[in-house]
Formats: sequence, structure tokens, C-alpha cells
Amino acid sequence: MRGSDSTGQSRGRGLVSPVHLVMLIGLFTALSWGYLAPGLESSGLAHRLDASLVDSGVESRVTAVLLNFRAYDTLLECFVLFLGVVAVWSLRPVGSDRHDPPPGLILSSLVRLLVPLMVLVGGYLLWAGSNQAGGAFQAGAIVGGAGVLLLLTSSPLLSAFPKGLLSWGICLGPFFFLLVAVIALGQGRNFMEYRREMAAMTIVALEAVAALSIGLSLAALFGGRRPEAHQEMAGQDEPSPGEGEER
Amino acid sequence: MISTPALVYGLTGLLLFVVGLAGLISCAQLLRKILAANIMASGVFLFLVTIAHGRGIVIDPVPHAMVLTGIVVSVSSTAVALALACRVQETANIHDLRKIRARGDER
Amino acid sequence: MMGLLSVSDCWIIWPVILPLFWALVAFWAKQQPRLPGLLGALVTSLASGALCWKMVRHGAFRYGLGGWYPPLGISLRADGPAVLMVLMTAVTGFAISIYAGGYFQSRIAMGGQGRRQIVQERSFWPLWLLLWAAMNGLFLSADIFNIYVTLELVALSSVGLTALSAKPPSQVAAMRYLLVSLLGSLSFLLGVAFLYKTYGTLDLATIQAALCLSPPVAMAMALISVGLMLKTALFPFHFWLPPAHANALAPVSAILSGLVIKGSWYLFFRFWQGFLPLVGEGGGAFLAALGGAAIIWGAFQAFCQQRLKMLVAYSTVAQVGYLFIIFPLIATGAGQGTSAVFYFAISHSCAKAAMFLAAGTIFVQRGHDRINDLDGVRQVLPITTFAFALGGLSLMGLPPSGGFIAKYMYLSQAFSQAKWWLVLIMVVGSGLTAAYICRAVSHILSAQKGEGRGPVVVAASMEWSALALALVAILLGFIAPVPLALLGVAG
Repeated sequence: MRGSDSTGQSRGRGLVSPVHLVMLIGLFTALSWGYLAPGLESSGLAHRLDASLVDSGVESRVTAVLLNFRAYDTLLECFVLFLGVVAVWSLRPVGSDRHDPPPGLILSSLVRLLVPLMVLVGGYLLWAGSNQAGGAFQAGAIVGGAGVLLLLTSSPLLSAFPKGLLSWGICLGPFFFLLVAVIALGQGRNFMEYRREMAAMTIVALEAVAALSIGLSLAALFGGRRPEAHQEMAGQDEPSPGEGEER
Repeated sequence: MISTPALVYGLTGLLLFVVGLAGLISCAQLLRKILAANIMASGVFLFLVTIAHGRGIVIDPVPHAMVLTGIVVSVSSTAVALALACRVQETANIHDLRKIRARGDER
Repeated sequence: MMGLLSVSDCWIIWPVILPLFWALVAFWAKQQPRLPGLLGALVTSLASGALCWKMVRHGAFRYGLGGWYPPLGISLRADGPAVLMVLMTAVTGFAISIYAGGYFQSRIAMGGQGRRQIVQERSFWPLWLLLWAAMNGLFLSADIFNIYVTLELVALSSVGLTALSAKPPSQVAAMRYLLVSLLGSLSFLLGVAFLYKTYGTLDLATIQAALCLSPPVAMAMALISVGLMLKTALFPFHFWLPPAHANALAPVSAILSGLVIKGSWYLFFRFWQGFLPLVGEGGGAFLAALGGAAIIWGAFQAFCQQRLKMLVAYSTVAQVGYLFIIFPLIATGAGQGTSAVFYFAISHSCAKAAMFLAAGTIFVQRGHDRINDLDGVRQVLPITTFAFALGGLSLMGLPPSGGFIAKYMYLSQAFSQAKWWLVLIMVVGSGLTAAYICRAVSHILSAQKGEGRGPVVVAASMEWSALALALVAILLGFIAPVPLALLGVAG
């Protein structure tokens, strides 16, 4: 969206019109009234959760909710990320359009220093997630950040990364989640119900795979298009603006 | 009664929601609309976190988990929105939905 | 006992996870996504049928995911309305999948821009299977935050599908669709936050049992309703629908109009089952007024359109109105209103999908869909013409068709409750529907030679799948007791 700097004229139009302003103030008043008005207020699920925490296999309460009590949400969430990659890749043609100048000495050595460090921090967050703040998504975000850094500097590490592996890695997280869920069914338990003595290990394994997958997906979302081998790129051109198919 | 931090954070969350809505309605450019939607989402997340601390004594982890899930969902939809906005600009050479409203409808 | 029960109840999860799995496979199989796509459609339909059979045998049931039940865990619920919608998605979705197979095959065979069609198909199957899984998840979920996640899955995959067509108008329409969907989802999520703050649970049934009018509940109600109305494209919020539905690829148009709209409407209905007693008849009448405006305005706009797919898209705007004028009838009457509106929803799904598929076939064959130049389609595409006309028949509500049964139930309810203004809206709406359908059909059926590109062979599966769906819409006119008995399995 580099071309979208606003001219003076369009900046003027960005102001909220008086009618909108009155409506928005009204909305805010109504929302605050809904929030502040005295009435029934629940104490939430904290107490109930503490009673079941022993059975969940982890000590961190948020991780217990994310990967045990409401693990189905997390499963779907992995698919939201996968869906994001599919949708973004469907929008842009194959290949890469980055023609940035090669990074200077300082930048490239900094990246070489930072990326392993970020992967290490991601691993720590993953491990910390079982008893304090942290977990798969935080770890995945850091790994994804490392990927973004590599993409931004068009690092040689990136071209060494086999392209086919990326889509496998992105699928791996959602697939592993499904696998764990279905294995539970096969063993006569409920969908996604872990065996009690295995719960801790299952959750750590799920988190590790999910973190890797999330990191790759985030980097892929940043990359914006499906990287592909060169022979496939031949003949793949940007559709010209006026060209529609069904005409 | 609601504690002061809960009051401040809760109202700020709701205010962010409304400000984001204002941006989504009145900004003409796609990039700003997408950012406005993100501000709305942040408002909702702040509100959820405030609820988790509402009673002040025990922190409820369920809204925290909801926020984490919500953030990932919003990352994904923002990425799709940005890719689509780039695409709209490339193919139609447009970054302002109003300018093509008439053209888009007639076909 | 508990374990045994849950093992057999696990049928409920398969309609959600099977399409998810096959979406992954279709994504892996980069060069050959059609086979896993079609296989995924087949197994998902079978799983939906199995769930239906299971529920009919054993009655409505709930299933706690991960062995946790509310309020801590998420549960799925299979009851009459939910399973009926899953079954509707299976029937319509399977026919659309068959059509899509033939559609991409024909388009790739047409050559010229074959390369891009291959890329489109590669993205189509994963997106469509993810959408299908999300729809099933949405219908079956009993947890309001989980519903938010499925809503987002539905929204993102529909936007991805809309944007597959490379035409600039469809990209712009997809952009607007995405922004509207985001607004709707966030509004819904804030409503969920208000409900959680008040009741301390995310289980819809528990919340509805405890529901009483208070400021936070009123805000939640408003936020959730507006969010879902935006996504359903009810009258004042319908602006995004026609360009998005009309400019998408043919199978995508059918998916969006036949199925996706029903997802958010179904949620709206579920929530309002709890809200209606709080707001009384006034709230129902307000929704009905919006619905009535949608019927009249949508039908009028449909009549004015120059393009066939635009006409069918505006017809969806009108038909969404019928899904909302039922609320005052439900507020005061017995269960009859619910039966009527669900019957309307399933017959509209089949009829509208059939019409969009037929319109898409005509588009591929002719290379355009300008209504005035469509003369003589009958000679080239007799089966497609028949399918379009049968779908139109059901939309108009002529006997024998599913649309007729639904409108008959609507009218008998309106008469018995002496709601004459609803009768008036329905009569005027049906007249307008007949007018725009006849306008399109008269051109398609006429014997003159129309304008269009030379002989293009379309795959037989495209023609027959559209016809099969249209026949289902007609068949619904004969087998009304069966779906209604299914719907009656108590929730």
C-alpha cells in the first residue's frame, strides 16, 4: 500500500461527520451504561477451574484452558491460521517480488546473531508455558518474528530452506492436533481427551509442534505469496489489470 | 462495585471499540480501514481482560485464553485483508472503496 | 456408562473434522487437488448423514469435547434444527462439489488462460472444505466463544473464495465483504464479552435459561444482533451482498448464497429464541419490518438488473427477508413458525444454489450473462434451463415445491394470528418474485438466437448437478413430513 499516501483533499474527508459523531457518542454512552450499570455479575470460572486444574496436566491456568479445557478452540484457531495462509497464497501469484538491495555487513551479522537467539527465546517460552506466562502462541510469534527478519533481509539462510518443506510445516500443526484428537477417539475416550497420566507430555508435544507451525505460518503470511521452484514459476505471470476471465 | 482500574480499563476498551468503528466507517482508504478494524479488536480484547480481573481477587483465565485465540484470529484476518488490499490496488489501481462503488456494482 | 455414551456420540464430531482433514490433503496435493476435494465432499456428506441417522435413533444429545462439559469445557449439541442445517449443507454442498469438479475441468479444457484456472482450483478445494467444516462447526456448537471462532473461519474462507475470481469487481467486492464481516465478528465478540461478564459461562443453553433483561444483557443483545444481521445481509446492511455474490466464480456464488448466509441467520435465530421473550412482540415486529423491506426492495432491485447473476444475487437479498418476517409469528404462536422458517431455509438453499449453478453454466457457455442477450439458451443447454426454471418455481412458491410448502405454512400462521400486514408483504413479494423470474426465464426459453461465443462444451456434471439440486427443491414439496419430523427432535 505504498501508493496510498493521502493528498490534502482526501485527508479532509477522513474527518468524522457530525451525524456520525453523535451516533458514535451515543454508542459509547450505551456501551458504558451496559458496563457500569449495577446488576448481576458473575465471578467467572476461576474457582471451578482451580478445582479441575490438577487433572489438566499443566500448572499454568491459561495453558490449561487453551490446551485442555478448551482445546477445541485452539484446534480451530490453528486452522484459522492455516486458512489465512491458503487465502493469502490464493490472492497473490507464485514467486517472490522482493528485490531489496543486499543487506550491509552490520545488518547481516546482526541477523545471524539474532535469529538463533530468537529461536532460543521461543523454546524457552514454550517450556515456561507449562507453569507460568508463555506457551505455543508466544513461542510461535517469536519464531515467526525470526522468519520475518530473514525475509526482510533476504538472507541466504532463506534460499537454503527447501521450499516444499514450508507447506508441510504449515500443515503439520493442524494435522498433529487432529491426529491427537482422533487417537483419543480410537482409544475409547472423548474427542481430544488426553490420557490422564500422559496429559502433560501430550500438551508439551502439541505446543511444540503448534509453535513451529505457527511460526512458519506467520512468516508465510508476511511473505505474502507461495514460494515455488523455478520451473513452476515459468509462464506464471501477473494477470494484467483489465483481464477478466469470464468475459 | 467496580474498582477504579477496572473502570479505567473497561471504559478505555469500549472507547477503543467506538474509535475503531469511527475509523472503519469514515476513513476512505483501505489501509486505514484495516487499521481501524484492528483498533476495534484491541478494544474488545482490553475489555475481555478487564472482565477477567473484574472481581479483583482471583484472576479468571478463561477470558485470557479467549484473548489469545482472538489475537491469532485477528492476525490471520488482518493478513488476508492486507493481501486483498494489495490485490485490489494492483488490479483495479484503487485504494479508496468509494471511488469505485458505482463501477463495482454495475458489473 | 458415561464412556460408552460418549463413544457412540462421537458421530457428532466427524462432520467437522473430516473436511478439515481433507482440506489439509487438498492443500498438500498441489497439482491434483480435485480428487481429495471430491473425496472430502463425499465423506463429509456421509458423516452428516450418519449423524442425522444417529440423532433420529437416539434423540437429541450433547457431547463434551475433551471429556469436559460446560461451564469449563466446550460442548457440541445435536438437535433437530442443528442437524437439519448440517444435512442441508451436506446435500447442497455435495451437489456444488460435483459441479465444481466439472466447472474447473471445463474451464481448464477451454484453454487460453488454463494456467490461472489451475491455480484457482488449487485454492478452491482447501478453502471450500474449510468453509464446510466451519459451517458444520457453527451449526453444532453450543459455546458462544467457539461460535465466534467458527464465524471467523466462515468469514475468512468465504472472502478467500469470493476473491478467487480475478476480475477487479470481485476483488473489490471481496474487500468490502471482509470489512463488513470483521465488523460483524467484532460486534459479536463484544456481545459475548458482555454475556460472559454477566453469567460467567459461555454455554448458550445455560445463558438462555438464565436470561433476564438488564443493561449488559441489552447491550449484548444489540451487539450480537447487529453483528449477525451484518453478516446475513438483512435489508439496511445488504449493500455488500450483490456484488460479492454475483462476481464470484459460479460454484462460489452458489456456496455463498445457498449456504453461508444461512449460517449467520441460524445463529441469529438461536440467540433470538432466548431474546424474543425478553423484548416481546415489539422486537419481533421490528425484525419483521426490516425483513419486509428486504423482500420488497430486493425483489424490485432484482427486477431492474441487467445481468442474470446480479438478478439471482438481489433475489437472495429479498429471500433473506422471509427468514426474518417469521419472528412476530414465533413470538406469539406455537412451534409452527419455527417449522415454517426452517423449511423455507432448506428449500431456499437448494433452489438458490441450483439457480446460481445454472446461471454459472450459462455464463461459461455464453461468455456473458446479459439477460436481454440470453435468447436461445434452451436449445444449447436444455438441462440447465430446466434446472433454472425449477429453481425459480420454488422461489416463487408455486406448488409442488419446497418453497410452496414453506410459504403455505407462513401464510396459515399469519392468517391464524390475524397479522394481515405480513400477508400483504408476502403476497406483494411473491408477485415481484414471479415478475423477475419470468423476465429471466422468458429470455432463456425463447426460440430466437442470442448473442454469445461459439460452441463451448460444458461438462455434463455441471448440468446434472444443478438439475439434481433443483429437483431436491421440488421434491421437498412432496416429503414435507420427513424434514419436519427431523426438526421436531427436541433441542
